[in-house]
Amino acid sequence: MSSHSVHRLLFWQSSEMMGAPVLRIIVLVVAIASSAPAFAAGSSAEEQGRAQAEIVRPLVVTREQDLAFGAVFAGNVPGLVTVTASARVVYQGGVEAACVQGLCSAPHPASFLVRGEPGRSYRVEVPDSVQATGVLAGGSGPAAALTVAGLMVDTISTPGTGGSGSLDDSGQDRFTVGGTLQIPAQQPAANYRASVPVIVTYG
Amino acid sequence: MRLKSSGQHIGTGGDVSLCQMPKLYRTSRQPWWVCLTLSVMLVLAGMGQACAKAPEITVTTNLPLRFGTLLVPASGSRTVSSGGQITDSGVFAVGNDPVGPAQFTVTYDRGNESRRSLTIKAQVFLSGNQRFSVGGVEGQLSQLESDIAGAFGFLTGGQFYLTIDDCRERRCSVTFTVGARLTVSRSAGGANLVVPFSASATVLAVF
Repeated sequence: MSSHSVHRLLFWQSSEMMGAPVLRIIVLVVAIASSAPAFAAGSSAEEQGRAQAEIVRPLVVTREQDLAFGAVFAGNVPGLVTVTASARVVYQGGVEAACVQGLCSAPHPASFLVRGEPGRSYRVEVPDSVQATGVLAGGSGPAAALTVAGLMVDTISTPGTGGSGSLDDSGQDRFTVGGTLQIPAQQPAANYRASVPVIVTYG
Repeated sequence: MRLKSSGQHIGTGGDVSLCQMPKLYRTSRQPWWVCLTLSVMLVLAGMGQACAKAPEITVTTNLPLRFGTLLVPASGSRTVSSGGQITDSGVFAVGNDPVGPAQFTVTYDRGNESRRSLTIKAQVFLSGNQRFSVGGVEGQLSQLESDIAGAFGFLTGGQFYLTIDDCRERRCSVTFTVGARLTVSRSAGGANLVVPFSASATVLAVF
């Protein structure tokens, strides 16, 4: 039984027993004053919530230039050709440039254009090394594979960070990829080609 | 004798506001002690209910519903449950932005300082299914749900019941979380989506 009905019962019992209007009032007042249950059925309130999300456009990477080691002479000792991401070329060991500058393809790093959400940072990942497959000069068969190691990335926006960059106000940036070609001794003349997977993600 | 009250509010069930005490008028037919007794009793009744007001329920937002940063090639959805579980379809998370359900608090203010134990039953209604677009990005919120299903379970249309048991304070509250699915379609560019939704609470019973 609720407290409200208890009070009502008290009221009727009292009135029958006492029969006095004054006491009725007293009992009624006591009943009301001592109960005071907070009853607010029907009252309601509303609050505005919000759901928030930042939606970004996908990154689009466009290859502008391949990584090229140029033409080299292989000597009697192993050698290295390094093309840095900043386009510096270094020959080490038994290799040397086979072309006079300007007469054939000069070594250069790969270059990529990346587009995405303006102001967002991104990161470029490349493998540590890849294998270059070759075809002997004159098309007389496959050549032994060469290793391209020390692949490195540099971005235009934040050079020297090892592959971290940020997109400008138009949502663009560029990055370059370099590496080192390892050439064994007495390597026969051949043309080599390698694929370098490049993964670009928002940072 | 007449009893005249001023500024007194008696709600259904007998809630009393006593910021202003009732005025008593003595007639010549009643003895003086009757009015004195009545006055004392009313004063005593007023003690402990200092400046009471009408009971009310309020809903406040503690946390927004956070979907984080999403890469959306064309269209997809992310569902963040009321428990915080994340389900993606056609979208890819970017970065480490916080992701989580919204949080609301429903507070019942009984309006007085009584210590009587109360049980409050309320119905909560979540709504917000409209589409929102910013530039080339369109978003829609759906499947709003809460971690409080109540004794009656989750009702249709984002409604559920909540109960505040054994409330002995002037204000008692319960906090609940809200999850939802955000469906996004992107035709161009990116956007910061802010999709509003509402949480309303209605008191069904207090006993």
